[in-house]
Amino acid sequence: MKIKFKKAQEEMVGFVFIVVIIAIVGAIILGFSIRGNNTLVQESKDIHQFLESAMELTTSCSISYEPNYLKLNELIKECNNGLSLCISGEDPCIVLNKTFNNVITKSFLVNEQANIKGYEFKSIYSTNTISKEIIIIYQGDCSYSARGAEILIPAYPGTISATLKLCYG
Amino acid sequence: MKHFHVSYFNNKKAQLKIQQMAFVLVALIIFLAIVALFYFSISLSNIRKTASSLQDEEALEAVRKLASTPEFVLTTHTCSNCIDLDKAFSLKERRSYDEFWNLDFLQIENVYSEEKNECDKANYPNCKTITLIKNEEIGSPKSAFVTICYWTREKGGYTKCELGRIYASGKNIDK
Repeated sequence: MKIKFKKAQEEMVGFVFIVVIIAIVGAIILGFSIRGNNTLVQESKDIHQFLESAMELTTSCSISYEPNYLKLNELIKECNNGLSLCISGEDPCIVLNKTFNNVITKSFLVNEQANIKGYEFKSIYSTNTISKEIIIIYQGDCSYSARGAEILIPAYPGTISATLKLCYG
Repeated sequence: MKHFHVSYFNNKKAQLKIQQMAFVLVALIIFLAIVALFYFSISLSNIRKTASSLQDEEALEAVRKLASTPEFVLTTHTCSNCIDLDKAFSLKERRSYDEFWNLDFLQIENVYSEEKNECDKANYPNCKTITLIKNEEIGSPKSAFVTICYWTREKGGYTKCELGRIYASGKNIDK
């Protein structure tokens, strides 16, 4: 009787063991498949369109004469070059910061109570050999899920990438 | 007789074993089926999400395509997403364009403008919206970012570009 009971116990342990192994393997596969689908920053067509359109808008900075005002993408290039000031005497990077903040706040509702908790705009100049950060503008909390887009601006001999990330709670 | 008893009990034990094995297999199959159901429900919801986001993207593109039509596009700059606001404003008064786009609603909004009112001859370009089409049933309009450019007399005159949104609804957009 005792031997029979022990044998049943062994079989139960074996069964539980198999179930546990299958559960672990299943959880690992499921985890990988879920993680594969939700990347940290989801590509967004809306933000891409926003960036494309924003790059064409007229800023308040002109280098040569007024009213030959720079477009936002030209202002980023000018900020990267760091060679000249706007006719108003302002630094192109400061005008860029102000203009972009203004555009973002007019286009999206960004605050703690809103759907969009924060944003991050990053511009990087890179060639085959170097990579240099031009400007980072951010506001609010960006530690949760985000949607974003990137556009490229040709700036011989390299390229400027402008990335915008909108962060959701 | 003794031999028969041993054989009978052995047979019964084997049957029990087979039964046990069958139970284990059934339990395993049920378990695997539950796991598979769980997995497929998650992947199906992901497919649904992807389909709806693709539909949204398509609608966005359809709205944005309007900006590059000859009736709106800015020809003085090399910019495919720039709307000539002066052109759009001149279309506002033309009733012959009402059926042209086959839309229920078409509006251009200046995101940058502090004003809140609709554009007319008295306030243009210091206004918020230009509504080109507004039928009785407009549904839920889709919108896309565009650049809106207009001629300003400031500083001797230049083409000023600002950020705008184009809203549209209708069969061509919602399909």
